[in-house]
Amino acid sequence: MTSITRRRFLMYAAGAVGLGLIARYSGVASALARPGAKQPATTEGGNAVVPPKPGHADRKYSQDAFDTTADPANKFGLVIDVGACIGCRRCMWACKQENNIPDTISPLWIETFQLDAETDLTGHPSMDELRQGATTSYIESPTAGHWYLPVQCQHCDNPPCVKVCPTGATYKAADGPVLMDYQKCIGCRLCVVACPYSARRFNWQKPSVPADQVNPLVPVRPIGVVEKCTLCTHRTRRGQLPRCVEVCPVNARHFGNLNDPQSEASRILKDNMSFRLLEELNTQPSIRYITRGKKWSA
Amino acid sequence: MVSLTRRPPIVDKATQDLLRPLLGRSRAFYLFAGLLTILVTWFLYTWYLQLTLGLGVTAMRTPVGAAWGVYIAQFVFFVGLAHGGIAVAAAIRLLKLKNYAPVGRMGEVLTVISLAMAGLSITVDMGRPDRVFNLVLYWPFRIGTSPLSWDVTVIIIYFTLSAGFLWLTLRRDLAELAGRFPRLAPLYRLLSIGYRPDENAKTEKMAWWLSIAICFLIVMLSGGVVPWIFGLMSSRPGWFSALAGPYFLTAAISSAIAAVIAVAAILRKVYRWQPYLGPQVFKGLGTFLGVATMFYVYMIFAEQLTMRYSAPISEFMVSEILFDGAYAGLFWPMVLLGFILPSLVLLGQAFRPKWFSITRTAVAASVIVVAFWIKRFLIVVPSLLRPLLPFPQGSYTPSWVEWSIVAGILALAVLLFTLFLKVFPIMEIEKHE
Repeated sequence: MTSITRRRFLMYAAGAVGLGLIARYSGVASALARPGAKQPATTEGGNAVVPPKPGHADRKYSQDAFDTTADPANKFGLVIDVGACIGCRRCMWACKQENNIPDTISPLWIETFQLDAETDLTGHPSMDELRQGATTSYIESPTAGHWYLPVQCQHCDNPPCVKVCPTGATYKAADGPVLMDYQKCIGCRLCVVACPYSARRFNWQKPSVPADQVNPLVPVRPIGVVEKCTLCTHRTRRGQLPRCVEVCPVNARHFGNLNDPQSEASRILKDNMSFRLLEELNTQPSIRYITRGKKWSA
Repeated sequence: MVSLTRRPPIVDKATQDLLRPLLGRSRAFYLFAGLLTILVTWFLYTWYLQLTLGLGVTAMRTPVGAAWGVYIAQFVFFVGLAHGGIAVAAAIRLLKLKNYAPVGRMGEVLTVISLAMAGLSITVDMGRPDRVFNLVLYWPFRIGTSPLSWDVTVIIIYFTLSAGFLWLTLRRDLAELAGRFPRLAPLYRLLSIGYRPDENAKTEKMAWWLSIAICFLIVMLSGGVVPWIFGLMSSRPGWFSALAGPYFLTAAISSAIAAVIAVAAILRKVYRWQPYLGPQVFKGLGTFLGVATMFYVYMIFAEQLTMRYSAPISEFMVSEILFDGAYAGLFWPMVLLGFILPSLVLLGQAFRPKWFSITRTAVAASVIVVAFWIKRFLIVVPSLLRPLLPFPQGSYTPSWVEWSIVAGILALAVLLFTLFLKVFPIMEIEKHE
């Protein structure tokens, strides 16, 4: 019978912990823990690109793996002009098509609130309205006496969702957007709960998008995971505008690299007063709102 | 392996009495276990439905609606129950409360089963339970900031310690009983492997140190990481509060003491253990429960006052859901009939000893257990129905699948406890020989 003294046991235990720490900080574990790093990649214009399979979005890859890699020199941001917005919801529906959002996701990634003069800027309708159940998305617009507030993931610089995630399935990309790895997500919805903007959606049902309507650049999500606005990284990292910006008929949305003082977004921010939603929560959103005055009449 | 000296068959009445659950073959027992098995089978079937069809079969929705529902309420409830049980056992050891020793093991078993059920409730709530291992795989990278990682960590440590505690204190009895129950002997020998009578002193010492560790963990788990899942979320009015820790801790201790009282009273009645479970145990635990529940009522008052006095409207609206909204019909009966009335009964008994009755104590305790389940529901859900941005206010009424799963997990807890009764001695034998 082998006998093991307490001293020897403690020595072994300390050795095992030490080895674990070495593995942790030498990157062995992180290499093991990131299967995405092993995916084949080709090079295109200096950036690693994972070629998506034609016609079908392969579920093996995270959103990030579809895209050109993030360039840390960039910091993508969005400026939304609530004075110009007419509440037409074109951005919402274009986003649905662009990002393969299934019909089972509601509201969509972008939600547009119809507010009025009695409503506070940060979005608290009056008590009576709340009791009745306040705004609704799908109404004719613009209507007299109202203004419109489109809200989507704010791509915070201090994102609570990223902080609380127990698997690292949601993360802050080097160029600004907060993204999802649909393969890591365990569906605990702690991020849904932590997001003060209610910007996250959950696949309660199996999402299905008709095969002929699938955008091959964007993965169709599996059941039971969280999804949200990606700031169209599959477009923006290739130099295109996000789809919501592209379709806006009144130029209420402006996209740009906030690190570049010459970008459209930076120039607009320089010339206008702007605010961010729920700024007191210190989430530091990358989406700013301006109001250049009402450009439309009902 | 040390050979055990053969003991003579049970002769003394006390041991005979305490082993009644193991010796008895009553029809009622099998009927009860059968009923529970049916409920558990139904749970497995509904869980299968949920796994194949998705969480869409529940009434949970987001952002308009509740992203978490009865599963998370059930999780918090079971984590709470897990505490007092082991707290009683640990306190008995640390403070040398000999009078309470008979309920010590009941508390330990309650703890181990409740923790397992808490883990199950979380798993049932996950969208991708097939990936539950990701929690472990990415643990080193997320333990720094994710409250859920903290939870998984502490629950695993806690489960290990309390199961170890139970096992250590069970070994002596199992070694004793191995000769007396031939059919269970292999199991008993396996669990009491390497047992020597002279290890008892060492076991006592280990159990003492484990008790200290567990007392710290009670604060860390029920007064720490579980409330921090809620209390740290600035996105949710009603949750975001430094009170969360003490609030949950008080709820945990109260609900678990109440459960220990209820379980002890039921076992006392069913197995005719009146001589071994004296009224002193119920008197003491009941008084403590009365004080703790009253303190909890005070905390509800402090919380609601803060949420209403000059609070942001988001806080006020969550309070309104309880006071005058969708859940007023749950909130007021819970506070008045579920907390205040039973704790007044318990405190009244403490001041007027001639009012004391074990039955009344047990009924009050059972009501408090139910009220704390409702309270967990009212903590989890209303804050989720009121997003900060002007989404319409959601509503949440659990679906039949959710009720089936919740009932099934409760039934599973009772079933496991019943099976433990049948296989292991729930009262320490040695003390009475």
